[in-house]
Amino acid sequence: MWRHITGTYGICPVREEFRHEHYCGRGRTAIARAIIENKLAYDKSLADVVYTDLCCWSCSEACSLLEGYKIRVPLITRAMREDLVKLGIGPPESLEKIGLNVKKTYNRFGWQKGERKAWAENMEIPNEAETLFFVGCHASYMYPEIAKSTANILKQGKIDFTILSDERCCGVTQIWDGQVQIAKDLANHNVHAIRESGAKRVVTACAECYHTIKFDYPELIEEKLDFEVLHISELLSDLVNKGKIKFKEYRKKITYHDPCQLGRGSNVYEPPRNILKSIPGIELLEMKRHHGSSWCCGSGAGQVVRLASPQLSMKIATDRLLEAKETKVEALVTTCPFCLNLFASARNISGIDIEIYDLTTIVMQAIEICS
Amino acid sequence: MKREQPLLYNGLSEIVGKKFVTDEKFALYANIRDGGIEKSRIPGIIVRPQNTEHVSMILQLANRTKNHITIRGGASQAGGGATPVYPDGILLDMTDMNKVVKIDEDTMTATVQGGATFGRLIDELHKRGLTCCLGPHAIYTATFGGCVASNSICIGSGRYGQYGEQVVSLEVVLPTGEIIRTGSDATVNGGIFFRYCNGADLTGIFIGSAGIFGVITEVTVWVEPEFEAKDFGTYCFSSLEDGTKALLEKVRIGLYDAYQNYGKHTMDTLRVRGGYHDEIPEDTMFMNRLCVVGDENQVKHKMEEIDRIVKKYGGVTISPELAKAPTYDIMGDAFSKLRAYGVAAPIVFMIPIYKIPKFVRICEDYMKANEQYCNPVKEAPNLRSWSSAGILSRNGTVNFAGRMTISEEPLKMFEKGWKAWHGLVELVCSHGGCPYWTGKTWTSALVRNYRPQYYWFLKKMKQTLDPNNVLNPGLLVEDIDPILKRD
Repeated sequence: MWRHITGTYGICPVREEFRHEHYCGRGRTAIARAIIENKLAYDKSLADVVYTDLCCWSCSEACSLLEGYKIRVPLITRAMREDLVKLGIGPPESLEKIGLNVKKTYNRFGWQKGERKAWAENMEIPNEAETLFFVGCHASYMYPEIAKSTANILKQGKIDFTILSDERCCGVTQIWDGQVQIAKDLANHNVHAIRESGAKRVVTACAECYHTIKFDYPELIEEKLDFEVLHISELLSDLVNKGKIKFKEYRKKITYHDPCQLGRGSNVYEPPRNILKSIPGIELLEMKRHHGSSWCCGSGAGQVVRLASPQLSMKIATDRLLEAKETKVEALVTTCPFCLNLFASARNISGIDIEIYDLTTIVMQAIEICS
Repeated sequence: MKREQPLLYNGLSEIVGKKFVTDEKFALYANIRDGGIEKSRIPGIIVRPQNTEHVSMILQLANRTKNHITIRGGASQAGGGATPVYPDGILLDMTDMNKVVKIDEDTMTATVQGGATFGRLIDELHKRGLTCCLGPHAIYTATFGGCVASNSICIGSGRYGQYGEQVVSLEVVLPTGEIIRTGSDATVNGGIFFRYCNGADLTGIFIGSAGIFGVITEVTVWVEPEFEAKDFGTYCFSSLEDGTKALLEKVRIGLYDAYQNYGKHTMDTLRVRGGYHDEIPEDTMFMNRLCVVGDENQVKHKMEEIDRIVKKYGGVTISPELAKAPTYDIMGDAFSKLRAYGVAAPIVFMIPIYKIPKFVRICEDYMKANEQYCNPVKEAPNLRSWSSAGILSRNGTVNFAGRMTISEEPLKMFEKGWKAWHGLVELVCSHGGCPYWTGKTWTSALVRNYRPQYYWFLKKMKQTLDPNNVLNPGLLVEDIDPILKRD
């Protein structure tokens, strides 16, 4: 219903930027149909357009026509990207590089494999537990504070957990950029490793890892998962509701940005909000576009657009930060490291005065430590 | 890249700049559909004018080069109005002309460019405690120019009529490139404040004209203070006649909005596919969802009167929640799920309210005779996918909408189903239904049913204003040769 109120703000961030029909869900669907009907062929120009799709689920969410015909535009784009990779026209070089990094070093940055667990030093994490914390590349290498905060939150909630000794990248970028074989190999490895660990439940603090493991892995490995997959916000919200996590006062005016793969992609909207509202002193204000009408940060699923079209990505992120500023908050909180990273870059470049936090780090600042 | 029409590409680029012109094949294919199901021809080139002068220069160029033009706004109408009838022409994408030009609280008017969407104006008006009174159901994408050219029925049409009745003045670029302003702004010193002055109401010829008489580049509409109060109600009746009579009496009280669903088949489909098992009583043949607005006392009084009328005709009141969203949010969603069974082929006509029972029965009988072309609803195989509904307009009129969901495979079945759809359209016309949509899909039905003198007049106007038949050829008027010459 809010879409009727916010109809002024558009549906597709890319179309709002570039204006042509072929950038929005309807246009992309029409192009896909023309390809299936052999009226149109893939070429480099079309590939450039295909790699601008954020795959943010906004058009699928907004349009009852797409819903009725069961058309999922992000999945159409994914299929087109797979075609482009098979034809050798995709992916763009920047994404090819990520694929090579992941194949060689099992992380998207190309950094040392052995450094993946460096954040966990001195944390005394057991080798076995029913709950497994899937850390993800960003938390492992770039934002160790997210990894540590998540681990500490689990400890505070008296959740016994372990981590994989040989966790590999979840493969999200390769799923979304068409390099699907790399993603399949990663999925097979990670699922095997999780099963070997004996864990019954996997929790992650990354919205993209969460969506990938929960929804994409079963398709990739062609098997149902025999473990539960939770986002940290779901688990933490439950702990808060049961009184197992308590907060001290922490004063801040904040707004929450729904990551696309967690919000529209997985229908998880309320748990992060419940947590934030439970912290005494937090004033949570919504941006104009929130919940199902949340505006993408500009990274795109798997960070594909950020890597393929960095200027477009930065523009969208800057617009979203300006929207956050309109609510007159001190800070923007999100729960996806891709969003976090892009917002931080956009803030630094634009000079917009706003703090940016991951949910786990702000929770750790507010948590009442119980021995 | 080898261009198909290099002279045209260069000419358009000189007018608007290369950034706003494209003839990439994928871009052309992206624009071949609107909200309907009929495929169109592929345009030859797409141009996005940034202002009225651009539109004028583009039309002048098209007349020189003999290229035809299709106007495209939000392309949310389902009648084929925003897609080319003939191949290789210019597609005039108006969506960059999307600004709110002026809100004038002295004259209580708002002026927007033709490509502006409703949400944009609604947001600006809301900040000032104002409303533009009406809004189309395709509120995210429908443009003002398109709404005027289609004379859309809207949220609020029960009170305000169709969109044309809200128009104060238009700025239009004629097919040969002249720019005119209508209403009070037709005179040099008049300014925009009123429609019915300065002689003939020429604003009216562009309303519902499907863009054949000109490109609407600016629209000025009435605005009002936001309503103090509103309330909703949903009512079910066990007979079409009782529901219709009740609606006629309710209309006299003054409704803002009213949506109807008709017939047992429709109700069964809503229950099964829409999930409204418990809400809609088993014997319902007519369901009316309405909204009233006004100050608090007016709203209270109207709802009391409506309750009295409903009881008089043996109706029952069910959850007002069903009435709280425009058709597209809840009921539209239920009907959109029918698309899972095939291609949704809608009919929409204007009829007087008192004829509702007649048209419901005519259509249901026809559908029963042609049900082999519609797929069954999976959850209830005895149900074929047909539904009928209506939206209230003013003066005792509703639009009567029906939807066949035609089997898509095999192709022969689809073709027969599509033929059956055309048969349904003819049937409704023959009983006095007046087509509401004006796009390509409807032109032949309109042309067959016009009075000869009226059609002569329409053609004469078209030939006078557009001697080269450049603008939206093939809509509303047939048998004028289209321009198909290319460079």
